[in-house]
Amino acid sequence: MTSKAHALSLKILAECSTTKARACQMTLPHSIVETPVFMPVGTQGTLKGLLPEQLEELDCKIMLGNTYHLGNRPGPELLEKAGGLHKFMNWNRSLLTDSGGFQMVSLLKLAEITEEGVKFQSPHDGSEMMLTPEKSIEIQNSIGADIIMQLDDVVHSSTTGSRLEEAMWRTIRWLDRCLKAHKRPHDQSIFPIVQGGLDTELRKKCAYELIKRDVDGYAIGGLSGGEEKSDFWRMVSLSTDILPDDKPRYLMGVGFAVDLVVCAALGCDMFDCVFPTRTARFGSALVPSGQLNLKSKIFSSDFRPIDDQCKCSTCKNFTRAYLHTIVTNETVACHLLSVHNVAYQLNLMKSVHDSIIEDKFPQFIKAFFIQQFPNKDFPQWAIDALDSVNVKLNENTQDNGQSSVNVKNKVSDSSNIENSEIS
Amino acid sequence: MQVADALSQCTRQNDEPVISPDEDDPYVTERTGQMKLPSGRNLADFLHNSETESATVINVNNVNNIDIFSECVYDADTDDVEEIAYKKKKTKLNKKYETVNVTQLNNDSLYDKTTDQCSDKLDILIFPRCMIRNAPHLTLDVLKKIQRVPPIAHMYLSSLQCSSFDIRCFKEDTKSSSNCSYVFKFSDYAVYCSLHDPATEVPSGYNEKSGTAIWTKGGKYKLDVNHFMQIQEAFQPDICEALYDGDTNKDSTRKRLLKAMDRTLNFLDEIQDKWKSSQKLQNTALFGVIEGGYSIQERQKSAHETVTRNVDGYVLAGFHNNGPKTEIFDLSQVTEICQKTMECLPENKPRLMQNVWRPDKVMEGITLGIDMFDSSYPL
Repeated sequence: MTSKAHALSLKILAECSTTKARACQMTLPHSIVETPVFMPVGTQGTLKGLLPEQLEELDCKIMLGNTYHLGNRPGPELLEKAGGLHKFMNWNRSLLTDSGGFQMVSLLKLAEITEEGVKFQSPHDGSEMMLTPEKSIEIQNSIGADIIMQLDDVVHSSTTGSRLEEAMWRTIRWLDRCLKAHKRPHDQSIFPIVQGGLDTELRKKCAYELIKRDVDGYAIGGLSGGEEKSDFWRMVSLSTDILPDDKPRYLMGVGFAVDLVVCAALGCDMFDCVFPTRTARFGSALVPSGQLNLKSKIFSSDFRPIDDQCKCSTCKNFTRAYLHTIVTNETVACHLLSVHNVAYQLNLMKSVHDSIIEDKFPQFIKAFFIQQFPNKDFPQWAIDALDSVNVKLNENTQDNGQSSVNVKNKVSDSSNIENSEIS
Repeated sequence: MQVADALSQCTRQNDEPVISPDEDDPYVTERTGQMKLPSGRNLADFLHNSETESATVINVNNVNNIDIFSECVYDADTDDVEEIAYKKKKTKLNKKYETVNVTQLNNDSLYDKTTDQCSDKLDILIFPRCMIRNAPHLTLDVLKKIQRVPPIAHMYLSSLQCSSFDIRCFKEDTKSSSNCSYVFKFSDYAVYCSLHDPATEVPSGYNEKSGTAIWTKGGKYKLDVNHFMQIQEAFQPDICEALYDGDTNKDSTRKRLLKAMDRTLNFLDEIQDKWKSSQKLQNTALFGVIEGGYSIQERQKSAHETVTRNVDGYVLAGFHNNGPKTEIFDLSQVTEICQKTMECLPENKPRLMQNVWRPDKVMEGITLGIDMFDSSYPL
């Protein structure tokens, strides 16, 4: 239903008959992306630990770049000379850049926010940089990502009161400035960002304002900053209720497996997080039952792969014992685990996508949760969130037996070890 | 030859690393060859099997005048991926190679030097070779993306040993084979196992008569012949460097040189003794280590003694203490030593020298008759 020949078109392949989840095909200038999708984060023109080539082998279709960092180094002029980030980093599939606004939170000590924009101090050389909505779009235009984000006034998710409201309204004003400044609407889509913190009314207002604008998709921002999960899912659900069905919804900064599955059920299509690669660098491998801390001694003579169902090159080639040996000694371990963790995230989303297509997503959710929480000690927020979309986690139906077909089942003896390792 | 330093004892702390010279072979300016490993695994086969794309590189038998070096930045001879280095050497290389056929390492190592005299035609080129080191950040995946990677991997006890990866693990892991190349998934590669990491400086003064100190991440580890044999039996590399005392350099006294030589030969004798009775090591080639520091006389003596022991190849060590400082090493300083040493070595067995790093130095090394190099510099 995208009106013009936009840089983005969304085709809904299937809608879950129970939850708000949907499986879509999103066509972007550089690739066709199947949603729900997890997008690995390549902060400064590279995903830490993986070559673009390796990402392609993992069938990753879209990754993130970070405007603030790229704008600092190498800077827009150089990127333009290089022919955009795609060419510069040798990645021919889709890219999404954030607006740089998130650094308002993460680098707040260095940032000063006014109506005009955000004044940063470069953490690299201390030089000042004024990031206005226009500047953000200018940089993102020269980066050339398929999807770009509006500059938003990000506040910490615990913020309340007038600052929160100011930020929400400012985000909308900045959106209009961004849309006006955008020079490449034919091949770059701007996503506005729903703000409003944990305030129901503000979020609603914000979302209703945003959908008045003609854009290709929407992002849900200002969450996953350490707020209560019970607030988090309500804000997500409320936003997806308002946002139009025919446009992709991007939930920013979410990447834990449980969150991904729940939020896909709440109707989100796109996710990004540094978590899988970051945790890999600390020696933690993601598995269907949680995480393996490969530093732990219990793996010293465990000659199984991280996940015997996983098709990634790390699982095909290396044992837990080997990884345990090198995990604190050799940098190679970071790379090997990053490969696996990215593969895990992508596979998880692929399974979600497939189960929605087959209209077996509720069964998938239940099987997934049983694997993550074999003792059925599901987190309350997840129970509530899923309950809101008609999936009863604690209801012991016969579905479970059938649904486990969809999710890779671990060998029973291994799941015991792994569960003890969930951190 | 260097003036003896009266102070140099094995306890000296501040040895200046000296750069290791290459050996010269007065009879051949360049040697190329192919090596068959005792295990029956042929290095050339590795190349064919593991790198079909690089067939242009390997199967050049039928192609004349192929300038393989102009097509690929990666240089098989030096294992150097750097473009500048490659450009520097390119012209040189094309003119120099002679072709040599299969060398059998096991049975008296026929180093068949059938020289075609056809300088522009490149036959199967295995020697000279650099060995792929297990380098920081380089995963097997990524390594396989590089074309024409030499089919031999270099591992060192200082990194293998330190691991909590107990030797027993090797026995438990992968029933199909207990060779360490399988454990580390280098099964497409032959494995050369040396004592020290060429890129890490080896502190001086810790070797003893009963064993040599290797430096692991966990600190010093004294390796005696018994333990050495245990490890090698567990790892079963394709080529193994004998235990040696190489703690000598430019400034070492004659006394120290003699000590290093004696110990090294003693180790070798003991190792060979045990080697014969070891079932597991029948498929592993043993390289003897030639000591003698900067003294031509001692070098020759060491070479002669090592040759009489009938090893499968030779390692020239004892010029320096490894580590980054060897980058500045000037081969020309020791040209004569190398030449004189090479005279004592049989033509038909490979010669290996670590820490010949810069591409131009590798070229010099090749000229001196060295066949195998490590790849710590580019990696």
